[in-house]
Amino acid sequence: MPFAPSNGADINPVLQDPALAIHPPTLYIGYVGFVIPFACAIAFLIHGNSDVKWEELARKWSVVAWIFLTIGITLGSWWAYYELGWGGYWFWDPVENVALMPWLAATAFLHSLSVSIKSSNLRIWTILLSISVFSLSLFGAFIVRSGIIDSVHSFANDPERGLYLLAFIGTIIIVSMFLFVLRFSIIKSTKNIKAFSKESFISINNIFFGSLVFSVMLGVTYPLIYEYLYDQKISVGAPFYNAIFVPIVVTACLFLFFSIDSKWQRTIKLPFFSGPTIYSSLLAVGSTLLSMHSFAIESVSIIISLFAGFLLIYRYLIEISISLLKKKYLNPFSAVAHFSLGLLIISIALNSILSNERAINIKINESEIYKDLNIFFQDIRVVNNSNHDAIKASFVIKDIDSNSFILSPEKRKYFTRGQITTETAIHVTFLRDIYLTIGDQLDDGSWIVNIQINYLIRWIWISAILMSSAGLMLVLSRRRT
Amino acid sequence: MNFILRFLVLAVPIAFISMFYVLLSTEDSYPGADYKVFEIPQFSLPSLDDSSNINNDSLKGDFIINVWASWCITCRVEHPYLSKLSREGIKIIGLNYKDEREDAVDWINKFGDPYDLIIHDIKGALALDMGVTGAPETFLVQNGIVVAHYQGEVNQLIWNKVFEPIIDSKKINLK
Repeated sequence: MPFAPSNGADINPVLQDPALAIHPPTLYIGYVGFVIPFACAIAFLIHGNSDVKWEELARKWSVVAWIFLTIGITLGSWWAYYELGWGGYWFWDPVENVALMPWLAATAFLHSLSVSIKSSNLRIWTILLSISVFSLSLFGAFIVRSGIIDSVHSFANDPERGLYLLAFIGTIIIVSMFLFVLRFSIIKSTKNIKAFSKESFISINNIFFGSLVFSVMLGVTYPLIYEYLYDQKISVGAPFYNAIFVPIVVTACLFLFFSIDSKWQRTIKLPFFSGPTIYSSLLAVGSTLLSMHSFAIESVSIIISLFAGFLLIYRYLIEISISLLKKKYLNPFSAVAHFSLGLLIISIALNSILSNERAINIKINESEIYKDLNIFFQDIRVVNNSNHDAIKASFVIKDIDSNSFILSPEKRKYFTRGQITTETAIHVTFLRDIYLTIGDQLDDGSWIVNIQINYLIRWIWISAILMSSAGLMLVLSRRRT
Repeated sequence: MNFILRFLVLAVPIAFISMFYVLLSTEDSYPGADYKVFEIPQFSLPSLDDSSNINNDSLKGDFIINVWASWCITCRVEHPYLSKLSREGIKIIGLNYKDEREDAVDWINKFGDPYDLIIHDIKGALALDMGVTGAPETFLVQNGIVVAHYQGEVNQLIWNKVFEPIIDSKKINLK
């Protein structure tokens, strides 16, 4: 700004919230944290001695950054759900996507890093990924701050800042890539990767994650290119991402399932018919069939996702039990992280198939029935607060087990900006959220009320937190790699 | 294979960065500005001093329309720049937006009047039809046709970036 404004416009009301206050700094710790592996990789390239074990140095720092990134994305998702009133956990908003890309690249990087630490293999991947993660983090700042994309997150835009950021990112990427090309001979692996070794599975995993990052990048940039070329706005939404993510993630899960038996640096015949594989497959098939039957699921992508999720959950439960009972070695970080992945996939799949919503018109002192819920509109009143007035409604809701609870959604009008926001009311239970927002009053005196029943949505965030706790275990463990 | 990899790691980032440079440098990327072309909607409203009625026929030639209000802080910040434009002989039509007549007249008396004509739109009817979301906003008009619209404070930077290229290319004569 060329001058200080004569008086402020107050902080945007949707930002007046603790989860908002915490999610960007958490994400930024994640983004910034990846400067450490990046710096290690660049130092390695400049130094030019292939015997230097930079990967070892970077490991715990990378995991710490990854934990913050994971938690930051989860908190952001939670905030959008209850404060923005989006009513879901993920919307493929451009700014969600620019946080997801570094996370995907970082996850691939951590896997690749573990190979490079063990055997100095996959160094090309590891170095390219470390540069990508950091560049993608900067790219996020560029997208949010340059105003190139419209999004809920683009609160402050300035194209000149955009050019500055672009020049900054461009310099970093191009200099790193020149170094990479220059030092290519020292990065190249001298040993070949053995078929069906852990290394081979992780390099396949890198390809899967690389494809996901590329697809998200395409989804973010394609509308921009299209608008530039044809002067028409298009949007790329959930159908595109679902079509790409489901098959790739499911295939990656199958590879993961068989990679559990593989060994580092050697080829073994994978035991396709061992106890754990057979029992977990049978349990997964059974659970998937049961879910299909109970919830009348017909969508193929949901069915294969459920199967992949169950496969991982059962397999890791069996492996964890075996390792506890027979004292057989199992990488605990990998087990917890991948078990959480299974949980995450199942939660997402069931959430998308079971959740439902409807807008109802309801008058005061009337009841409506939606699904198994009886909704009674008890009261509506005006509440005055320090920086806003609110209309606060009370609904008494009874579910099928005659549990009764009160939900009080609000509409607020903030004084300084005159902005109107809706405050959701959410009743949280173990399996589902009852989510209420209040809309406008109609001429006949009734109010529009939107009711959502979101199944397993908490489990999506719990899985993500559990996944990050695997990282935390690794950071706190004293075991040398 | 190695050559292709080395080529790609350089070519792909350079391609992306060039693409973003091109996207950022296009004129549409200035936030708040849009160049949708439309006719000024039919209207008939009183002037601010209530001495006459203003309608589409009262607005002839090329000019800018500035949406302002006495309650609008940014309008006060913007005011010296509008006065400068006015001194340079540029024709500015004021659209007084959702404002009490008394307050608006006081404001003009206090800070000066850069406007050739002020429309008093107390209900914001014309403003609504023109797609105004708040104050200040500024429209560039050529023979009754809006050719540029900017939301926010007009200053030298905005004038040079948002309005001047259009004024030059369409040969608009604001004086």
